[in-house]
Amino acid sequence: MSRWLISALYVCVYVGLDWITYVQPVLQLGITPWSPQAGVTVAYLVWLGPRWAPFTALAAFLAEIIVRDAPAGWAPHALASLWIAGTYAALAAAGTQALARNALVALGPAVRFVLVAVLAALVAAIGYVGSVLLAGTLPWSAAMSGLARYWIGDINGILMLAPLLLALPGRSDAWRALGAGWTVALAQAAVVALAVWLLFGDAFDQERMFYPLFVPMIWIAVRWGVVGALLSALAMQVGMVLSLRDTPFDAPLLDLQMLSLTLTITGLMLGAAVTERARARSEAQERDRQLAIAMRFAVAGEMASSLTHELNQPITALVSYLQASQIMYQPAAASDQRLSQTLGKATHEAIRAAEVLRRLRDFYQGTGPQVSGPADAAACCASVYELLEPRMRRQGIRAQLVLPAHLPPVAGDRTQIEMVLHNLVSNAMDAVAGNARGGRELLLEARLQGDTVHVTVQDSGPGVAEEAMPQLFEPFNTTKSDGMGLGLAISRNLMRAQGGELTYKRSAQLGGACFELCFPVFKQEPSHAAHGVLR
Amino acid sequence: MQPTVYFVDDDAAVRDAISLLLSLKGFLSQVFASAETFLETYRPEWRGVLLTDLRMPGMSGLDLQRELIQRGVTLPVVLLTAHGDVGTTREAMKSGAFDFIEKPVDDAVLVDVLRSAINHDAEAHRVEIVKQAHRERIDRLTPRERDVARLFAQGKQNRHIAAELGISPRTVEVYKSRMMEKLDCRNLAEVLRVIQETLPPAS
Repeated sequence: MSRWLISALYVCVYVGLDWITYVQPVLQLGITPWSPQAGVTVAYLVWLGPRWAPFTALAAFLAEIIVRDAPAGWAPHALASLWIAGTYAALAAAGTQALARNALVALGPAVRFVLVAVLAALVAAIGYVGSVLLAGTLPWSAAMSGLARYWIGDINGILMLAPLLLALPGRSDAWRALGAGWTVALAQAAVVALAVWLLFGDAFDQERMFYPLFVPMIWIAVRWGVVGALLSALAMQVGMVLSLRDTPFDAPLLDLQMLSLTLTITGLMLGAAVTERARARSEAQERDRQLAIAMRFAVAGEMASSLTHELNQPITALVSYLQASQIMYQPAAASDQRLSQTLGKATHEAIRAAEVLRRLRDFYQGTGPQVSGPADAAACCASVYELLEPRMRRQGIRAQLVLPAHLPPVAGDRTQIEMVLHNLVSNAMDAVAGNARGGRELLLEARLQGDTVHVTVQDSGPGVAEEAMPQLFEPFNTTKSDGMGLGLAISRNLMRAQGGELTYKRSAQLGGACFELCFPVFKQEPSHAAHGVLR
Repeated sequence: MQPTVYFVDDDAAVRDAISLLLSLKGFLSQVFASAETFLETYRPEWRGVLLTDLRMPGMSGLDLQRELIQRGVTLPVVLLTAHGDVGTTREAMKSGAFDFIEKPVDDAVLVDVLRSAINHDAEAHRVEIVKQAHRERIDRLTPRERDVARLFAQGKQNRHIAAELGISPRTVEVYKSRMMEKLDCRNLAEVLRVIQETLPPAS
């Protein structure tokens, strides 16, 4: 769709919305309890860019003429339209796009977005109310209430519509989610409709009790995040506006505006927090899954490698024995070569067996990630800690994560580092499980020492027995009944493959085991230098 | 001391099989179950070749090689590697291993490599013996004679040597003939060779 077409459509929508929401105005002016146009405008200017603001001025001006017949005269309305267009263009120019989008998925941006909307709406309200005041259309006695009404109306419109309009086109996942949970959505829609009808319909027209609206709002926000919350706020708003079309002229409106505003902000914040948590959880799960896959692969690789080594030894002996037998064999008759030939065949078969093992080992060696950095060791610690934190809490382990404010990047691969850390922290958790509930302690710490980053995993468990020390990092060596004894062997191999090291000592702080990882600090390899020598 | 194959491997069957093969191929061999036992038993007069497994519990073949370099042991090192120990093997070769052989071992390759390693060691040992003899003879020189020898080795004429040491050219001649006698040399050219091979340049 061309931008001009969009702009034309925008102008029509603007005027149309102004006409629909032109309820309960102050003195036939454009001061109405709810201004969805403001939200559409912010979305429009963020999307196409602030230089399309003249269309906003045009739309605002047209609305004044068509909907209200320009009660304050042409000049003040032209001035007010330009002011509003300028205000929202400035808002769009100030990088609101990222903010409005992120407001849907994280609490921090949601709060900032609310503050920005409040400020921009205030500036716009001052412009509009000021111009009609100067024109003499609005008496000074009504200045403050007019300002408040316009202001809240615009905030409401922006908060409710701008994030929705900006985010909806790119959220096919939201539609899929809706498809999966449509029965819940239907029930929620019914509850909202019922609540709106009860509160704003004709059934009980005197007492307005708004609080019940918060129940479905919270339900929806928790279930669907910001998008659902904003949609339900929109539905409630529409119900409110429709019911207000018929109410008497001088109904108190600030309370309804405030209700609407509170509902929207509640939905936005709650939804953003919910979405943020859900996303963090799914990211953690994805990370967990990746770690598990990488770990399985590493286990298979270690198995293949150990198997190759373990079997290669007897095969080596076998081949050498056979070759020795061939030398020792003195045929009785020169014609009888059968034993010699058979020994030769046996040797050949033994070598073939060794070949099979080689291929198995090659398969697992060649396919592992070969990256070495840069990686953020502190982020790896934090990620693993976060991942295991719920389990540690359940098991009554007092865990502590100590990270310095700054750590240089290390040479290594993030997944591999996390795999090693996950392994060590899980081991530590198992190690302290035998302690009394108060004595289960665990410490994960990273620090910089000269040119290496040291990460230690310490626990208050029994530690490693003196006699078990020599075999500690050997494969198939375990004290766990359900373990394969590959974790530490793999961890050390992974560390060494990245140029690091994994060592054990007794923990000075907690008295149990202390595993220490050392990473070289990442340095940019002068890769062209090596080629230079060859040339 | 007969050249011997010193064989280190943690696996008893491999030790037995390879040493059997070695004896059949006419090598003297001595086996060790670990790098540590080898280091404990090692005598400086041992000649031949060290054949060691790369991957062992405790000290690895690479560790052993490093330790030997540290101790100034010149015995050539041949590594037995498993396929896939590429990185470690490369490292070992870079720090001066004589060669490496993949397991399972092909007897022809094994014999070839060990022969050339033993020859290499014998040659290095022979050179070392000559050097040692030269060193011993140089030690017989008096400090003054050594000064003359050093200047002579730098290619200086008698009168320059005399001027530098504050003696007469005639005395230099005397020193030279004494040097020839003490160093067991028939002529001055031989003296020059012995000095250049053995005497460190003047500080």
